[in-house]
Amino acid sequence: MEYPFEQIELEGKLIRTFQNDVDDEELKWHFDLKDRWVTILESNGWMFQLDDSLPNKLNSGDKIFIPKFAWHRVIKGDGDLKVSIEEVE
Amino acid sequence: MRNVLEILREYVEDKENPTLVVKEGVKMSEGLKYHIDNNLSLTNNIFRTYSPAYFDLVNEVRDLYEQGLVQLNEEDTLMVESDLGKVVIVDNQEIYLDAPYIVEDEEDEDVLEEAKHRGKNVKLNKPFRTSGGPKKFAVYVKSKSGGIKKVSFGDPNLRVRNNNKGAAKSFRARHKCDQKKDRTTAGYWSCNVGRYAKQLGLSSSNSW
Repeated sequence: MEYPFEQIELEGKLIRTFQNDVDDEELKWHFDLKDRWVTILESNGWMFQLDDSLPNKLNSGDKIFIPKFAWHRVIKGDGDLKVSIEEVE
Repeated sequence: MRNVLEILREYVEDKENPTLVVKEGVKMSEGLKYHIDNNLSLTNNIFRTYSPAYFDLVNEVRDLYEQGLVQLNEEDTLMVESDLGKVVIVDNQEIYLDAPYIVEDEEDEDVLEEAKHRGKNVKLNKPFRTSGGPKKFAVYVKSKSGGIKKVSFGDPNLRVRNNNKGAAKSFRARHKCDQKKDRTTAGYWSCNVGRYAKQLGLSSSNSW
């Protein structure tokens, strides 16, 4: 399966980068199998949306908790989006 | 990726056919306000397709439309005039009307490979009716990674209404069929059932 981001693992965390030329259509609604803490490292106008909620702008330094099985997606902004993801056992 | 021409065309169409123009003083949800503030149509509903918030927005706009409190463009009008988002109770279960499932059945490719090893041959890009499956139709396609993927689509509890001009137009708008080009998704096949009417046993070969 192809993903719309590049990813490296660093000290137990996933560092994920979405390029600014990613196709909107690839940023699909999805859910994950584990709880996650996501820290925004770099964002320029990107937004995050949880199911049944309105999109929220992402800013560098923001920390978001995403419960497992919670539908969510990101919405493209300008520039790249870089996040650090920590899965919670 | 959308090109500049498409974006410009949408811009001009939006200017010529404004939608979600609500009369002054009307109370509305945050969701509807968000769509108005961001110049989004109902067809471009920001919420996940067929989620509770998605249906709530459709029903809210329908209520306003029926009271003459909102102006809509043609596509949004078709949407609120359909049964989309209306609920009926069947066997003590709430069923949303006019909401065919667009669910991708991302079967484990290894399972399909195994099936092939057991001698099961599958024809690619030939949709067929499923028997007893969770969806009405299915098709085997080559996935982007080169494996074989089974895509299931269509709600077995609903009729394919591509022979109804209004329903077809509403469906195409709702599911953005003009953007569905990827054969590995359920959306593509749902939008193109008409092409395969004969092999799927449909009465009409109209495109949605």
